[in-house]
Amino acid sequence: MPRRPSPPLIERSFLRRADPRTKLVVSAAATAAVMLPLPQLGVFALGYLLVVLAAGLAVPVVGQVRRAAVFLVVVGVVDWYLIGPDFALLMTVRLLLLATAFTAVVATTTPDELHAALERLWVPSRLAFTIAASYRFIAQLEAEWRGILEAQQARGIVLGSFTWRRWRDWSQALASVVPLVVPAVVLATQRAWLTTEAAAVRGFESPRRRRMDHPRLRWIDCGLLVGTLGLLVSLSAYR
Amino acid sequence: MSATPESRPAAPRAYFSTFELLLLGVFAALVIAGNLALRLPIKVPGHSGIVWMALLVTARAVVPKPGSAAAAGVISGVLAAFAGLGDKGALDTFASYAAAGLAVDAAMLAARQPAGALRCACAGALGNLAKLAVKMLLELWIGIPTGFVVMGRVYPVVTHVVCGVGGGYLGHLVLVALRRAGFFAYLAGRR
Repeated sequence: MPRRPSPPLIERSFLRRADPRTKLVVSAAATAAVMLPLPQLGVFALGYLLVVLAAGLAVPVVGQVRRAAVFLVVVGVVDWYLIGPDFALLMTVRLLLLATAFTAVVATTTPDELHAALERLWVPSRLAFTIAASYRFIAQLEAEWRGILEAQQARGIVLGSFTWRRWRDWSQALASVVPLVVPAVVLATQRAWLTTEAAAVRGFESPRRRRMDHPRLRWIDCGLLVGTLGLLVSLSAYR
Repeated sequence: MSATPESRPAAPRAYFSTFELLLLGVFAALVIAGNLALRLPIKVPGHSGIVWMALLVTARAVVPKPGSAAAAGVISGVLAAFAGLGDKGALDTFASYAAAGLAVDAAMLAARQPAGALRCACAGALGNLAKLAVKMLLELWIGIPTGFVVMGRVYPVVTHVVCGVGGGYLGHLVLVALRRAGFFAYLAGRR
């Protein structure tokens, strides 16, 4: 069974009711906030942490931090040792915010919602459709690729049998990857063609095609936007 | 006088057809699936670039238009960021994937014969280096001292170039195999 490529959707989060565009702006603001000096950055990070906890996003955020843990520890220790604790703290908080800024979007948005949000953000509808469709293909392509891998292993092509240390090993190993990639490319092309046909049959290329429904911004969106941008601007202006 | 449907001016043709766009989207999904499913037994920084660059080089040759690898890179960046891949957050993930596609496209654009082994290898190396360059730029942007970044990235630069060359060459081998199998003739019938 292929594992789902994305973190699980947090259904009970209040951010599920927010528009994906709002979440994108809030996440972009959190990314921009990394340029604030340490005291202001600390205030913003605290506010961000409160929103994360209130939204029930602690688990995906901790998962993201865990993946960046080695890099965070190395940067923190080296900066502390060579420059000082203030700088080490600044770098660590900046990296933490950068690594977790878009978790609100990733953990609380479905591919359909992303599709609608991209169309609303003036992304061409065919490109938005392609992104949403491709996202759904990932798990199937992964399963197909694992199937190809097992089939080729049954024929004696095993990637782990090469040491990859000498030039001869590299050329042999690369040649052995070709039978894994070529069937995947052919299957992917067939999938693209079938999707094109299905989309055409449903009138996707019709000039009178209706775009996806776009919900209007609600109070929760206005509150999030005003709160985040207001906090960012006031902290940036504060000296 | 109102324009009848027959007299209405035709809509401008899109640069990529729907099939080409979906093909690039599927290649972008393949990049993500490849990173999840194909674990090559190499423990060096940048080894994921082998299959990744091969797919970008292949995408550029399968949809032979300037910008096709860049489009595949941008789409795979959105998919990877939305799938929660990468250890330094969505911005780093998106920018890395998009930069790799852009670099492969730029290298293939400069080449006269896009499917040549040397050109593919160079494109792969540039793409893999662009991925690393984005990480370095983000580290510099958040204020990590330049000396630390440079010192810490000497070995990864070398391994990214080697793996990128390997990926580009793998892309060339894949294209040769696809051509032998009649894939491009099959594709021509679909366009």
